[in-house]
Amino acid sequence: MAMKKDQQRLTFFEPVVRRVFRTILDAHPEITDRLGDYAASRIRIDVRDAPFCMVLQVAKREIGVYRRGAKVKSDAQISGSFMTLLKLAEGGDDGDSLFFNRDIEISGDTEAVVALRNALDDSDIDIIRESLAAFGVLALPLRIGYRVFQDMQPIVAGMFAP
Amino acid sequence: MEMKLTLGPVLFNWEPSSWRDFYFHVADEAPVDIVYVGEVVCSKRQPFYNKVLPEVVERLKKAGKEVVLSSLAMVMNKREAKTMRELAANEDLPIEVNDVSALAHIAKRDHVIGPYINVYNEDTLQHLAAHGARRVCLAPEIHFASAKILAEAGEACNTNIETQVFGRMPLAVSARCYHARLHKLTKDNCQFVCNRDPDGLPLNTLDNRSFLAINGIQTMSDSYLDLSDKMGEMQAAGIRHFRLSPQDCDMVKVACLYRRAGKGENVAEKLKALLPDARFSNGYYGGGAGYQRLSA
Amino acid sequence: MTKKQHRKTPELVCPAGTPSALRVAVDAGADVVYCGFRDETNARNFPGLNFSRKEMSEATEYAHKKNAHVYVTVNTFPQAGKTDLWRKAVNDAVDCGADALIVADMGIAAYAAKTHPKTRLHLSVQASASNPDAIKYYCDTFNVKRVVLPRVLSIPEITALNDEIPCETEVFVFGGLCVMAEGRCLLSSYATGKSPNMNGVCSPAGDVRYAQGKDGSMDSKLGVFTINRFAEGEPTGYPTICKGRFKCGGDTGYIFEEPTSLDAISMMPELLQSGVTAFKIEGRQRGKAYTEAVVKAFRKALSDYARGWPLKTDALIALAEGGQSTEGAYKKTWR
Repeated sequence: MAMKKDQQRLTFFEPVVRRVFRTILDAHPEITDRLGDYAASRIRIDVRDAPFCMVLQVAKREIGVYRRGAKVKSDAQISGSFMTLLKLAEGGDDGDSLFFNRDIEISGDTEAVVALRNALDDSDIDIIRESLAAFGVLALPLRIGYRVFQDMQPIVAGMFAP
Repeated sequence: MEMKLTLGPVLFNWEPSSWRDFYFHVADEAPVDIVYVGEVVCSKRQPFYNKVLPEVVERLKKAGKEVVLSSLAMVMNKREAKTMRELAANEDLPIEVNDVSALAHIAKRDHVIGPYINVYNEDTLQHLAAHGARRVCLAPEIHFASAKILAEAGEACNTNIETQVFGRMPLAVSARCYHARLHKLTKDNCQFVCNRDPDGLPLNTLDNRSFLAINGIQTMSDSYLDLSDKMGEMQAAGIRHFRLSPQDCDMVKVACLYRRAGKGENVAEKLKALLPDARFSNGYYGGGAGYQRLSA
Repeated sequence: MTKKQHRKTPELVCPAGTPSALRVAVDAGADVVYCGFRDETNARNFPGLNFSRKEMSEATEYAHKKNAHVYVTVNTFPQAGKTDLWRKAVNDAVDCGADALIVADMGIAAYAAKTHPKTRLHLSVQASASNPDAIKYYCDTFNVKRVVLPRVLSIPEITALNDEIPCETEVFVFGGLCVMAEGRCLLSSYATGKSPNMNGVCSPAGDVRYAQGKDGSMDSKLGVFTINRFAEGEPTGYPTICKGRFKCGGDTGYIFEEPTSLDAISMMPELLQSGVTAFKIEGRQRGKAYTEAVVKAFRKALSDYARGWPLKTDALIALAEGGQSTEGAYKKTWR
């Protein structure tokens, strides 16, 4: 049964994620520039091994965080594991290879996904470092926290697996 | 200038005797002005036709047709290169150049550029005209808007534009033979299996939508191009050569219909009655996808 | 004809779809990087890809500082009435410091030869010049210095060709493999209206849709045509018609070719003997991780070969379409 939209939204996480998202866009104006018209597209990111998904819209500098499986309007959808998506965003893995190997799945407006992938690949972003930088004095404890998460990742992934 | 109907080269592997009879029939009865003869798709088919080619050319000429010798679209080995050189060097008949290699030997003699040479813009047209191209048959994907500009540019450099108006469209050529591959034969030992499909072999999508047709190393559209209702507009734009690409059907009747279409008659229904199984398309003309059938 | 002087080590020509990929390619050991402007003047006109004029200038500066060259692709066919855009691309490429222009169209070749006689002109694979006479025509007419050979020739044919032509040759050694003769394929526009020749795209992303089935299968659709169906977990490929599954003559499957990438590492010794000047890696549409991996693998293969070490032939399989690779037409049995 479909939940109401506000119930699907993870309002606790959203401000944190939004802050990171905007920090990255500010640090890399070339992403918006490269996206051109596709900056207006609403792209849904489904993290297969986490209990949430995100819908981002670069032009509006907006990102929403929702429960996994939430019914949210989007133009294009991409799904993959947390680490796969992270590497893809940072240009650490080639998107086409991930697609060929079925590590990521794409649906909806393929063009918007391709544009985002290309824009990110050019931008040399380091999501973890830049995310931490977004939180100033909190950076160090968060960095340690991320390390722990990385080590725990297989276990955490197992916990949320369907 | 009056409209000219042309009959493109037979692209399929027909039995040499039926190939000859087809051209005899055309010579005697088809209201076409220009006839292209010669193998375009596969050099292995050439020796069979060469035996009957002289009598075919003779018969067509006697019937008052202008004859053009078509050449191979893909020249990959020494034997093919030699054939191309000889064809380009002949001074008896103009040739249709389908591979750039012929240009090296044409020595500015008048010739026709076939649809397998990329002529998309005025600059290329002018370049080729300066080397003796008197007519250029455009690739099927070129839209009317572009063809119109090319026809204007052609007037200035004494080159006519020809467009295909009927038949399956040539979409691709390959080093690989798909007929041989489908029959699990090598290209060198193909047993000429493409002769089983005198109209091309239809290829459908997994959900059974008709899509393409294979013809040896060539891939064609499943649909038959039909621009019979555009011939008036094209003539007004200075395009006066219209190519009918031979299919395994009554091409004399087809030619009669397009002759009438060129004078403004709507022949769509008659064409449909003549070829009840064919699917017609015209999508490229207006800048769309080639497979589409758009109404005027 | 006098035999041309062949390089001992071939030039490694690598793709870059973005400035970042260009830097990665140069740093990984590319001798040359090829790239294009962000419009329909080049054959990888994909969303979010390619270089602005400013980026191209910076890129050539970066490459030149590290002793690498930049070849600029202006290798689509200008549409009638729009040739100015292509001429401008030629002029801008020269202004940006390009070491060579890669062109396909005769009109553009004539323009470049006349306007920039000092700039090296290379003939794109899109011109489909697959035999000595065609290549000689381009050399004599436009002063072409190098031809990128169509992926239709076997190695003995390439060797014979190199003895007969007055220019250098460049051959593809890795990446996407056109099954049809390049520059002479209208399959994409037949289904979508957009083609490599006119628009610099094959199976444009805007016309591609992937439909995920409940059973884990995935359909790949191009416009209204279903061009493939992959079972759960089965490796996929690009949504190009030539690598789709179809029904034909009572058979169902890959009528033209399977999803596969060209990988000629195993053929490197023969290719080196054939007299080619440059090895080309396909993939301007790929991520920089691909660029880095492939460039490094070929650098290593060349140095291993020079030392007489065995070649590692399966290093790049994870990057290949359909998870498999082929030597393509270099082996005659491919045909």
